[in-house]
Amino acid sequence: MSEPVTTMESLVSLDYERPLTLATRQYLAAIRDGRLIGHRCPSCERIYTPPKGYCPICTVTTSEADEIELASTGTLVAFSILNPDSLHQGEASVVRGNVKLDGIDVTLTGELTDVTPDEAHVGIRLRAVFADPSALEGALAEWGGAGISGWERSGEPDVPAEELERFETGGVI
Amino acid sequence: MSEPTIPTVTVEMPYVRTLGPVMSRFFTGLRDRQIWANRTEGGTVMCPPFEYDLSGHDATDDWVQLEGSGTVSSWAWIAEPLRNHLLQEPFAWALIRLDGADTDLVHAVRVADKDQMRSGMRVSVRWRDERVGSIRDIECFEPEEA
Amino acid sequence: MRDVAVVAFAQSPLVRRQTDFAEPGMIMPVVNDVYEQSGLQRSEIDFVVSGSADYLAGQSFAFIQGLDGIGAWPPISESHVEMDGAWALYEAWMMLQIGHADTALVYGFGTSSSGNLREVLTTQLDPYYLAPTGIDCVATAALQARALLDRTDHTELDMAEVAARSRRSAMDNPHAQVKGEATATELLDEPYWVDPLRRHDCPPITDGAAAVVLVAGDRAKDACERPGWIRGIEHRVEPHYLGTRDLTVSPSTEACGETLGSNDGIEVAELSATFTHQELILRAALGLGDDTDVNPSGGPLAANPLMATGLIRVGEAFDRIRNDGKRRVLAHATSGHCLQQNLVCVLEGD
Repeated sequence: MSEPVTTMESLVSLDYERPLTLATRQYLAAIRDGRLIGHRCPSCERIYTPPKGYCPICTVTTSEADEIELASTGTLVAFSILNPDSLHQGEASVVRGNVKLDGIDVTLTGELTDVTPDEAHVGIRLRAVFADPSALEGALAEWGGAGISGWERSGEPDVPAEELERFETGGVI
Repeated sequence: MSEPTIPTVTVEMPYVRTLGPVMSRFFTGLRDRQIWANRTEGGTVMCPPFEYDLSGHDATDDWVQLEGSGTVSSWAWIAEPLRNHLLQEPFAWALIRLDGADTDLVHAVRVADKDQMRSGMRVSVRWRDERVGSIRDIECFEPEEA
Repeated sequence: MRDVAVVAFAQSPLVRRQTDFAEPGMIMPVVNDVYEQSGLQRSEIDFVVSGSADYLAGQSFAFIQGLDGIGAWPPISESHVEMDGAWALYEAWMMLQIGHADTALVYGFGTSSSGNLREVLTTQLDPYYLAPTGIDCVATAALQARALLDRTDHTELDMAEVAARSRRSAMDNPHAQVKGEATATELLDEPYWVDPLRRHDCPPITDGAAAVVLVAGDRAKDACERPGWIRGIEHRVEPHYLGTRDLTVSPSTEACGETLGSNDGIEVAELSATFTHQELILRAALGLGDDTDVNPSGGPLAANPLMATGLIRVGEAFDRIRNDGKRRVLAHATSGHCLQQNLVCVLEGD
């Protein structure tokens, strides 16, 4: 007679579909064309990218009529170094940066593809690396910048620190 | 341009739960091919066992071993099993009043054909070959040999 | 007790699958609608509470994302129940009763279409004795139905009559999903799905959202010409394990009904009878008269947006007061398998 049973294992495994919403489909269509778009709220003018199809502050819906094209180049204004741990699956440390887009008060967050932790500093000029839309998880497409899989150096000279604009939180992810 | 396929996501949550003394006794029993029920102060024999009786009586440390035969109280026919169902061929879910118990056990009944199912029929336990301490240690119930 | 009234109600289209918007986009028009109906500004709502279940969408904190739909800026006083919106309404009613609020916004929503609903609702079951068997909500309902057929005079035809009447009633409801003119006899010709249940005995899978506004005291009359005064609201829960209950009766519903006088003069009853046989059980438990109009909206058999279904019953009952001049109506909500938990609400119009 062996030991008494004192625990029970169980696995809940559930499959879900993530149909792409209207706003997401518009966003992905632009990504396929190498364009980054957002929706600008007709009421408060906040910009959402990827677009949600609504503005949560003003509770109005947004549509293609509110589409605004965003630059896919920008400047690194802040960054973190992610070291390997249980959440970060890779073996090397990576840089995750906030990139302020050119010409508009929108900041996106993404992984820097060709900047090492030692090299990272604010002011680096970057351009978006567009994701392959067919590889996107619908859920990620809604949750922030998945149309952009990363940011690479644009090759332009750095923006000096004193020229980096201080900006209001106008852009929302 | 064709519509992209609908993305899917699998959400998984693994758990390990402790059983406590009452369920530990029951599931240890199942692993060892035994069905144990417990009895409340009010005299209700419960299978599966519970820590407390629903009528407010405390459960006791008074245990009763059941034979593993019983009567079907109610049943429902599954023509197309879901992937997580106990059996993967057409079968009946059933509420089974095991001999000696005052409550019903929820489990599966395997019969060759739906026509063989009826409330009141006699069934007996078929044990799974490999048991770990789970309600699935009972593979199913089958019509009692006449 | 304070007088608390329902003063506005709106529901989204109730459809098999809604994909144009994420959940906030489904909620937003409904909430905007009740604000417009009541004439209240967002700043005049003291308390907001919602009912939903993240497991339906399969997204953790989906209920937080839902707040995007209601204008949670400037910051609001807000709560949530992992329950049907009817229980959110109960919480809002409590807040008004104890004087922590004079007005409340209540909403319920769900996208059942995202996952495999039968698998999802298995996770509602006890993880030791039931969930590992994989038994699903249609099977548990079927066990209940057979018990009812075995032990009472009710027949499969009685069940089909519920379905036929619901579908006919739903033809007058622009929001309903399942409508039709098939007779009970015609429905009985269809094959079993999970014997003894046929497809028509079971609810459809529905995405949808609903919202209600509550106001305490005379101020309710500013927000609505004919408010639906909540004369009583109760909920009770029964033991979980199916083998420990008599599935042919609903003592929790009966207890609620006794407290609220459900057998007395109820003109319209909107019941969350998600399966046909459950309507038979609930009618008996509530002691409804033969002349009570049951589920004129079509009920959950016509549209079952889980987590909004019960709240919609309250709203539909309120609409019978507001629009059709009824005086005393009842709404019922349920949670869990086989009517494990039940909420009953009686509304009256002046």
